Amino acid sequence: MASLRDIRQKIGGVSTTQQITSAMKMMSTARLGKAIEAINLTRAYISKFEHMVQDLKRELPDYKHPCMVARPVKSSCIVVIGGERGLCGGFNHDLNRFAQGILEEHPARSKKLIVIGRKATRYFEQKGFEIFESFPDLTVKTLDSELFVVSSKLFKLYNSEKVDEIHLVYTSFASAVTRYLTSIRLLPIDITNMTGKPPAKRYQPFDFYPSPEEIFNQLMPRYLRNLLYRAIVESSASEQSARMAAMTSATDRAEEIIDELKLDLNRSRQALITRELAEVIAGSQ
Amino acid sequence: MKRTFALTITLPGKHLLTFEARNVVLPSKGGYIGFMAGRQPLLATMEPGLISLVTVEDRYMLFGTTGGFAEMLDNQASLLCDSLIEVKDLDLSEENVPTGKLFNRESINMSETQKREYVKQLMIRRLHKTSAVGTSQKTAQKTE
Repeated sequence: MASLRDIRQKIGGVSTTQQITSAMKMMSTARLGKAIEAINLTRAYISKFEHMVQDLKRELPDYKHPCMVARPVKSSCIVVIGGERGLCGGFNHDLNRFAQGILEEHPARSKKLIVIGRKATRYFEQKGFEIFESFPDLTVKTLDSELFVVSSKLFKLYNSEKVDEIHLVYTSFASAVTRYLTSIRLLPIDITNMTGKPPAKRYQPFDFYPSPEEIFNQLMPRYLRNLLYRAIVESSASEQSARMAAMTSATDRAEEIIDELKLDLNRSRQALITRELAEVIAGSQ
Repeated sequence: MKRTFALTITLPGKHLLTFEARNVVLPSKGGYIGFMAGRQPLLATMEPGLISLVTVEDRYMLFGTTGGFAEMLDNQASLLCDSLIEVKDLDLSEENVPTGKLFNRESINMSETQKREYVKQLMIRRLHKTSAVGTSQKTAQKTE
């Protein structure tokens, strides 16, 4: 049986860990709240964008923007949005395995891998995948400055016909306890997947400043950027919710361990007292 | 006919501002365009510049944007901005008032940082002009 000193040391260690996990849980909860607000705003923003695209499409039914034209797939690009940090349960592992599966099973002859996030970058480097480009430091905090660079690179890659389609793999956020591993086709854009617009009260022709074609040309890169934005924000919210769940269970488990150790400590202490008493009684007889 | 319209300014993941507005003026490709309630449906791109609006309470409000889109439909206007600069984000001290010509307005040649700087300078200049006009009018009234 462990000595009283050893058990006390163990209790001290576990309660320190419990304080850390509890603090991390509180931080994740606060960050998750902010992330959910950002998701709601981004979803509203994107749905307005989609309504605009539909209005334009109604005015120009035959117009095909290069981003909307599907071509035979010879080369494909897969963009993986991974986690920023660890200690979030199976979040990183699940996503990396899912993305690896998609990458290996994709039928295109040539595949380019673009990775966003430190954990996913490290995973694919360790597995020996050839990474076309990685953005390990792109997080929600640096989105405003860096997202523009990533989206323009993707846009150029597609427009220069170096790739024929771009897929996005990330963890989409449903609620604090539900998240889904998601793979969507980013380019070419399929407008049939866009959220439907409520029908107008009566049809009135639109005024366009400048021409509808030019608006389309400006709209598409921004739409792509906003889809990326949404995916990164959702991935970050999923990571925070996974960390929150992991830290909650870690805090609970630490509490259980402390209870068990306290029981051990009391038992040992009682055994020591009983032994000493027995020795005193034996000595007096 | 209704004399006001619902105006929403949105940014990806950050702001969602809603107003009941009397009119709004925004920076379009060919120059500033303004519209009021009951306008025919409109879809326009926005260039770096100033968004000014008058609310139903007759409050004048000024924002800056680096670009985006504007839509007016069924007496509801939506401004989807790439970024939004508010007056509280500005340093309005005298030494920051730009003198001379600002950047060229052709946004295609500007980086995001340049666009923001350009819009901030525009806003500071506009705010100083309006405050100068207000002061000179008050002085003129006093002398009369």
